[in-house]
Amino acid sequence: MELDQYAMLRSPIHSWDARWKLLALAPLIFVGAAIKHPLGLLCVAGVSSAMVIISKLPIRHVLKILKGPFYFIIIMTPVLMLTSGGEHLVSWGVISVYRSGLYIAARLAIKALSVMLLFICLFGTTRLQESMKAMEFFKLPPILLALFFFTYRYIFLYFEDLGKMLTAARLRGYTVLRGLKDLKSTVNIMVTLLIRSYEQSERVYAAMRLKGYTGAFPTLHRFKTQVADILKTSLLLSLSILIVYMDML
Amino acid sequence: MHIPDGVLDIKIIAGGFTAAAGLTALALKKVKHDDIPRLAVMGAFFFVSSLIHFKVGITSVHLTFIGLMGIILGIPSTLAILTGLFFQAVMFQHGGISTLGINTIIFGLPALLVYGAFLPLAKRWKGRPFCLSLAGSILAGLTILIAAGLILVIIRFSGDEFTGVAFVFSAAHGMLAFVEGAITFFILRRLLKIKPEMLYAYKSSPPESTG
Repeated sequence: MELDQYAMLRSPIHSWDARWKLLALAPLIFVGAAIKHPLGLLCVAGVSSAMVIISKLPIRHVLKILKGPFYFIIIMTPVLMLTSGGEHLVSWGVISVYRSGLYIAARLAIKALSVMLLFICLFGTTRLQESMKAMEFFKLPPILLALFFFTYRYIFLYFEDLGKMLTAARLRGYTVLRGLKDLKSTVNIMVTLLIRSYEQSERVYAAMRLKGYTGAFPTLHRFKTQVADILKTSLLLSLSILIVYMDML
Repeated sequence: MHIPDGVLDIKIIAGGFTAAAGLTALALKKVKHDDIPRLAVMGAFFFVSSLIHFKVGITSVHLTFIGLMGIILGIPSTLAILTGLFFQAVMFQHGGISTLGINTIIFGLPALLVYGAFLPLAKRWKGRPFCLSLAGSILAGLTILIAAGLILVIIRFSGDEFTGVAFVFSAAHGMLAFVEGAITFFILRRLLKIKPEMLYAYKSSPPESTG
């Protein structure tokens, strides 16, 4: 799944300068993840949901991304209800279900989903090259940025190669990745994948160096600050400060 | 075995990012532009392996290869782990954005410990790939247990409410330690035979004989 597959849409979130967007949303993500005050939590949830609606991102795409944290919460809720302690909801002998577990699970759900929604707005509405350029503006080391870029590329190459190798193995009658009985065939596939990708990466990098790659990211995009960018950023930064203040009271 | 968003206290989140920045700075000092493809390949491998679920009895575990990352990449393994974790969080929602720093520590620190323990062994057991693979696999298994222990301690420090959950999930990692140790053994055996120069410890001094 490409991170920026809907970056070409048009919306006030898409047109937001990537640097200002990063400046506004990064603090809000951390505030959303760490806040304890219920009103603050609902505030972050409301803002993140509103931003996704404004961004006009397809709902199916958003739900697909939210599937991960959702499953995690589904698994966590019963464990939390059995282990969190506090006031009993029901008891069967030594097993007790705690009321606070439900509250903690609900809080966790709101936090995890809000953070993910904000993240979708941050990286899903800007082309990856622009996001990288914005991070470069905030002095993230160029080697780290290059590494992010290369890793992103290799993830897709791995998926492609792994798919081909699994098909080839199955056609030859092998079963892989199913359990300990497939250990040998699984290891063979993994080692081949690792060595093949390693050698391929060295060839690709050598070719890039020959074509003049020096570690910089040349893009045609030029950042241009507009009044709307400053207004949107100021609004969200003020909100982050307000929520933190509310949490401290 | 990642800590997701919403579980940790702000002080732990901030501490995690500070510590991760320190580890990243240390790794960046050891890295040149030419190392990027190797690191990126391993970062992507780390990412993809987390999606491989291995059935063990009635349950399933997903691989991490933290130990293998430390053995293959050495000190720069922190960078590959950081990028792998970032993409796991944003593309498949394993872990979290706010917990990226602390998760980098949970995975990066054991990888460095394994590298530190493996390096003298690689020098001592040149030409003895079986012993070296066995040592690497035991260390790889231990990394899982160390990482699970770190998760437990961090969540305990962050508050009482998630301690029970952390105990349940950490206990489940005993099986992962065994599976990952076994797979690492076979991968190391093959790598030492086919491409020993991929191992950081062997980069400067290739083995006398392999097989």
